[in-house]
Amino acid sequence: MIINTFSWEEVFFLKIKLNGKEEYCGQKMTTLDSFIKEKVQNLKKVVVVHNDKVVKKKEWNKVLLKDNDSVEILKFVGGG
Amino acid sequence: MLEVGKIKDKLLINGQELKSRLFIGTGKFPQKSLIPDVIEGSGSGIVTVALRRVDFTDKDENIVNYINKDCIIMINTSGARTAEEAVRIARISREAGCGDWIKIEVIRDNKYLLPDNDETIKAAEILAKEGFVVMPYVSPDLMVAKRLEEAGAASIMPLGAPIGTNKGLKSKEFIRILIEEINLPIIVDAGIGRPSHAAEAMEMGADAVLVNTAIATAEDPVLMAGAFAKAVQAGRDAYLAGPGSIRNYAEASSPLTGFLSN
Repeated sequence: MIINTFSWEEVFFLKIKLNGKEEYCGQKMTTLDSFIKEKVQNLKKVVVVHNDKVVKKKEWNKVLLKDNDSVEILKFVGGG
Repeated sequence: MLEVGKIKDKLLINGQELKSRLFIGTGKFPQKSLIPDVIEGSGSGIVTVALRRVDFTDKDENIVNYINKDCIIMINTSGARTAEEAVRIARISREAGCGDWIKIEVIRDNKYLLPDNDETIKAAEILAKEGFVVMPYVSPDLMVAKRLEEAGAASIMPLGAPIGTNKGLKSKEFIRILIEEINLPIIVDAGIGRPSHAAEAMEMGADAVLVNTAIATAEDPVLMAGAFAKAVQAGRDAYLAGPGSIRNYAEASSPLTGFLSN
């Protein structure tokens, strides 16, 4: 008999590669919008890259996250 | 014969007239709130910023909010270790609405932060085809600059000395060769630590300089920004004025006849 063992994280949470780090975060059926708002306090002009594609802020709520998606949350900082 | 005050001296990059020959970097400022006054004091029309992952504990404002609206924001690809990474940063920045001006900076060397010229050329070839205004940061080398020119770069940005060292124009002779041989604006970037270094670069015919550390780490960055603006203008004027030759022996400035006797 094969017994599949799932961790509770796998059942309830999405496996997302967030800023290069793989983690279970965000519940299933989460939009990019609510995911980002949960993660970032200051949303002013962050740049969001979902699976290598920049997603504009007004489109965040149209993207449903799937397991193994990659999300990069970036911003412009001082530099020479 | 040049007529003083009548010279139409414009810096054009990618067909766009820039209001100053001093470009400003925004790293290392003790308070970001200084940046608007520094930009104002420098008169600069081009300001560089970098793109990084958000630190989720950090509540800092986005740097772009501190940049005066009439400035061109030039994204640098710092953090890129390969051409591919530099291209990715450029594409993301453009899609994020930060425009087409890209300072290509590909660095693998952590001690001297010297640019990888080969990877920089590869990135320049790709980004120029995609319509970016390509501004490559390079070690000054004539053949590299020629390849960048062929690739469609909008300028060449040779280093004067390693980033943040404030050592001045250590690579002066090689930059001079670029100024002489390359038909693109030459913008001296990195190493300029004092207004006198900026003036020196401009006097020898550089088209512009980019300054960050020397201003950001000065005790009074706003005052230093103004000092750089004057030095850049003075150096440019001196270049246009055509300096006299350097000689080994004295040549009297006053008539050589004696005061009362011949």
